[in-house]
Amino acid sequence: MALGPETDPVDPGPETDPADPVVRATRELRRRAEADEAPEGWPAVERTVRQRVRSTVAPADPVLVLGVRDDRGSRTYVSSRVLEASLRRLLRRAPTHAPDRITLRVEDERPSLVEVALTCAYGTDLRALAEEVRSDARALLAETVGVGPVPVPVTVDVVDVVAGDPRRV
Amino acid sequence: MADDGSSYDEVSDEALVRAARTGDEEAFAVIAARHGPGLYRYAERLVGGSSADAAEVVQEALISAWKGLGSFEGRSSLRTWLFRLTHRRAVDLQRHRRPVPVDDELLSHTIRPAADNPLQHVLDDELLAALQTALDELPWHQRAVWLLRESEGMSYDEIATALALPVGSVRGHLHRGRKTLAERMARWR
Repeated sequence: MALGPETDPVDPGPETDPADPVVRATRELRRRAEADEAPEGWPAVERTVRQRVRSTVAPADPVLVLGVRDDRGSRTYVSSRVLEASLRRLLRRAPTHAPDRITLRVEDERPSLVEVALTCAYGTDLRALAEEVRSDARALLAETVGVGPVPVPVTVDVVDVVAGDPRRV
Repeated sequence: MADDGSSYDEVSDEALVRAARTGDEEAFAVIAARHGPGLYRYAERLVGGSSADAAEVVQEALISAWKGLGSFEGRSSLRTWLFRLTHRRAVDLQRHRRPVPVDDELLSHTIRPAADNPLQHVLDDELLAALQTALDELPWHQRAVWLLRESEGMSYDEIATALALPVGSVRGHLHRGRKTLAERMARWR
């Protein structure tokens, strides 16, 4: 954690004399921070954060599954959160793109719009990719919650382009 | 482990944010594991060495990061943004608490024993305890700026973003903080 010389008229910079107590204390502070993998209290915080993240419930709507109704009027619903998670997995399959945001809008218990923001790799044919994403998203919805009378519109928004696999860089 | 079965270990912060923003809890767990220890160290020094307070501050900061990833626009680095959230939570905690004296027992928990030179280790422990006491006496902004600069190695611009201060104020706080710490620590010469 080397600090470069940053001279300035207001702050001429830190003392550098190795005998200076603040210099010694600062070096010891950094040495321990770099030597220790994690502070003693951190693992408990990490566990709690994981639990709280898992229990944080994002807003969701029930989506009616078509074609599984019986003569007693039973119905099956899938949460829009589950569908968004499935879309996320679908959109992370190839090194050409990664989802940045996924929104599934629901009206009258059915998907009404899918909005996908993507980060793509340089060199990707964006038009062809958008068509592929639309087709794959519709197929996934059809497979999970059935096909309605009108195809669900899928808006694809390319928000960034990066050098390399956007799932990793 | 990512949805596609690959490891998230070598993945950039930007790619982790993308994944976490779409609800990927594993990606967020990697963000927490990568930056959490540094946030914890900062919070602990900032709030006077209390492990319990540091834990509360960092926990709340990370949960607000999880909930607020949608609003993170990437204008600063992820690390700077997380320090900013941690600092805000620490400010909230200080506002709602009365000042408490530094607990030397808690400080000692953060320091691990050295195997080779016990005498030097004791001296280093005492030096760090003196530094913490001197830090506790600094005004809030001076303490925060000093920690981010000297302990975390942040640039003036990053500190300004993390603390929502003008860069000129960062310079001023740092200068005054260094001067006061040098005076408080002079007896250790």
